[in-house]
Amino acid sequence: MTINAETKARRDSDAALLQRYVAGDEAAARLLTHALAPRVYAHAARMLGNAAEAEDVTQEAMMRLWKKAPDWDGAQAQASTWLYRVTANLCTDRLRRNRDTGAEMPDLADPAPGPEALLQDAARHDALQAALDRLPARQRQAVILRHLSGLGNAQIAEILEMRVEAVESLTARGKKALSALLAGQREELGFSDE
Amino acid sequence: MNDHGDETLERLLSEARAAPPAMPRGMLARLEAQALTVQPRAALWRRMVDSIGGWAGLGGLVTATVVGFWIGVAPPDGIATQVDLLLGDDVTMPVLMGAGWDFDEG
Repeated sequence: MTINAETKARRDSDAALLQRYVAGDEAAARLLTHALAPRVYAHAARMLGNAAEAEDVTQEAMMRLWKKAPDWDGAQAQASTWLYRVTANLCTDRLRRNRDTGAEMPDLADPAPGPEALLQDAARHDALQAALDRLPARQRQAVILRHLSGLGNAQIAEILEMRVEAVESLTARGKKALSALLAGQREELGFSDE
Repeated sequence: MNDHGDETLERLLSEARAAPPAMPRGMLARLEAQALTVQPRAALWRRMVDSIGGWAGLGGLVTATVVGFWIGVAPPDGIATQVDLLLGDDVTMPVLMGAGWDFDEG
């Protein structure tokens, strides 16, 4: 299947599920929630670095999808693209508000393997999150969508409402800045002896 | 650009991709409940059809109703015999006549 055909199939499938949701089909509500909410949460958590804030953003974004569902235009973007855009905007609003009020955001809790691995994983997770947090919001959005959520540049351009070339430039600058921030931490993060 | 920085970044990104932030316990259930709370209700006829097993259930119900009605209107021979066996034949009891109450006036 080509990329365009795959995108169209996903868009049609999203539209069909949203139609079923509006018709009162509870299974469609569950399918959409399970397919979309974890991706929204992951993006918000990486953007905000805070589980509670990410949960709030996910609830708000999903609520907006349900409210939009009766007027959903099957020819418009995939539901996931639309949701990522809503999530990106909600995160930007939160970051701006937190910056204005000077609110501190506690770290995300990490999943837990063994004690030593946990410490190492937590250190690596914290190092990446700390570096991401220092990027300007647009660069952070682009890097997370491209290199952590694994989206293509065309979809990211649609989400961030910019040209594909601008996305490429943003992600390149974001990665360069991250590399500079992480330089010198290789041994500290336990990569040298693996 | 620092090569170690690039390599460290690639490894951190790779690990982070493999372990995306997991939703807190119970969050998916809360989101499902939220979706169902604001979901438009299906029309009454649709909920009734769903409650009897969807279109297949409705088809079966209509077929059974039509067949039952038809058997009532024009029962096949075999079925009429069975009903007679069960309920017995019609019997006319000339009660009034037999009691001798049908006397002539005069």
